[in-house]
Amino acid sequence: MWSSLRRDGLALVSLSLVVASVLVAILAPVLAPYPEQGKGQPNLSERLQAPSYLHPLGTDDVGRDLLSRLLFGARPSLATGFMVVALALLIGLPLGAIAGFLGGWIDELIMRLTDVFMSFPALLLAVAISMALGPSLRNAMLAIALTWWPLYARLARAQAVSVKQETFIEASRAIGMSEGRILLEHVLPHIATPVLIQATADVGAAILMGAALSFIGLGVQPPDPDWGNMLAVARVYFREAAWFALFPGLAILLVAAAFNLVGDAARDSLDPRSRSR
Amino acid sequence: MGRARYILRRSLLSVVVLVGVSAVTFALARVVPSDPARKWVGPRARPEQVERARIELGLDRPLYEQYVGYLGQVLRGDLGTSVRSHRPILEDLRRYLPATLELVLASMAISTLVGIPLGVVAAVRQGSAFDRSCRLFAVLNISIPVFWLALILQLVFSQSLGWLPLGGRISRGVSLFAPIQPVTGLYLVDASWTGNWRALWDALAHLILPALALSSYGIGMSLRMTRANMLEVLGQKYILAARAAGLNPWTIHFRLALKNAIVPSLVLLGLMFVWQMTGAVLVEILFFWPGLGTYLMDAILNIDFPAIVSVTLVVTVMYVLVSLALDLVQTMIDPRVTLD
Repeated sequence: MWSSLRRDGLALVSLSLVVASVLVAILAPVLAPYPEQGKGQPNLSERLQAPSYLHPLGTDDVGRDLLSRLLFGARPSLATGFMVVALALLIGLPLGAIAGFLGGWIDELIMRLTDVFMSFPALLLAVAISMALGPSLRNAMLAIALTWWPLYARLARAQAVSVKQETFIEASRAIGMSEGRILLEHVLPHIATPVLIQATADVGAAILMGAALSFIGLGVQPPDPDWGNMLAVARVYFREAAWFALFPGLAILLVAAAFNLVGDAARDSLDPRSRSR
Repeated sequence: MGRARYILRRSLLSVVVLVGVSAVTFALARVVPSDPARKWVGPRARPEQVERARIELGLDRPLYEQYVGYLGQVLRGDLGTSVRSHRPILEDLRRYLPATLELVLASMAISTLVGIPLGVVAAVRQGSAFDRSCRLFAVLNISIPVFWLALILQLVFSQSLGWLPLGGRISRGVSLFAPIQPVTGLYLVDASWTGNWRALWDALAHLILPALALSSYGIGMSLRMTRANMLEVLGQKYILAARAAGLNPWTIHFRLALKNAIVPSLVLLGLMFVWQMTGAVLVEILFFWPGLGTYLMDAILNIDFPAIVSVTLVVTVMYVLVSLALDLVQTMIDPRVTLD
């Protein structure tokens, strides 16, 4: 996989971007020129300044350095991306594996459950759950994860169903292995790969949804920085301060695109059945 | 399985799903929030008022009874009353839905008209620079936040160039002097129907930017799916045979390959419809488009819980029905489809 990845220039760039964004999120306090403003401290004397030497990306509506805000804003965005996928995997993978492996009424029940959850438009369901639980970053992540798990459950189930037929499973049964152990030691590893490939590509989409929820006001609450809620405020000022609206959105676009491209590259090189090459 | 059996089982599945959906929305509406009764009467109510609201809303009855009551209400078309406006929600929805539908339909049209042909050509020219740029274009489209794209479009076309209006569905001038007769609620349709060309032009000008913003994800999705489907079809032996027989490339690509590649695209339409409906929420806020999105946003700001849950329910039901219809159409075209 690494050799084909090295040949693909775009995939390399995206991978570097992904790594860079993770580093930025972690190192924000060190990288940001004005870390206090990044975290939320207002600076009213320098409201809405255009990009300058002192403030490379300008300032926001309460005078905070936009670059610092953006750097700190990487944290909730990336956290949402990873947490949502992790939670969804935590819920969906076992359910799907059990459904596919055990079959019967458990399979039916779990599949109908995924049908129901997949019928909801993800954003609307996330909005409803967020509202019910109360607006916060943590609840937003939970809400989005609850809309995402059916996808992984389905994938895991499909994999489990095909693995079930393999002879080594039959052999394990013949030597007296319990169903539970078979599930854990043999089925799960085989299921993991395709699901994880899908998960990598999904981080980008999860970041977008997190940003959307924050934009509406249901995710990260101000003054905590988040690319989504920055855009919500920037919208009001876009006539006088176009830069304020430009940069957070650009950040979301670049990071989401980078994750999507990396996910695509992973899918192309690891999944022999994919024919997009 | 036989076609009739498939139709029956598929429809039955939809019914089960709809019941499940109503259960989830019920849980979100009544069970999850801390105190629906208190939310109904507001923060300054006295304890006896909260108690009375609790009895009126039926919250003192067992959960099972509440759910059945809820189901009965919904089936009769009573989606509850908006906590904010104290108007029946169904009425509100009826007013705002056509605007959103118009936006979604316009945006789906753009998505398919741009995405599908690009996907076809990219597949035919697999590996070329054009193909690579198309794939990059598709990824950018699915990664761009719609609310940001909307803002940028407004900045460029409205603010800087002044070509198109900033928001709304129609100009005040037109609504005063050449109002559109409401027939379907879709301004483009109604204006053309009544020959109101000035209004048609104006409505179109207002529709373009939001529809364009909303279409980005659809463009990316349809480009990728069409390309993947086309590649799969082009790899088939009968295409090779057609080439060997010397058929001209136009015939091969458009008459043979595309027809077969198109069928899975029906699934695409269903997915796109759902996505556009949710994206519309975000786009409408930015363009002051008086549709479901704006309604939902107001509901969120006012913590109007019944409204939020009802919008979710209605949109989901629409999706389930559209998806059922598309599956049934697909089985008419291709009898080989099976359940799951």
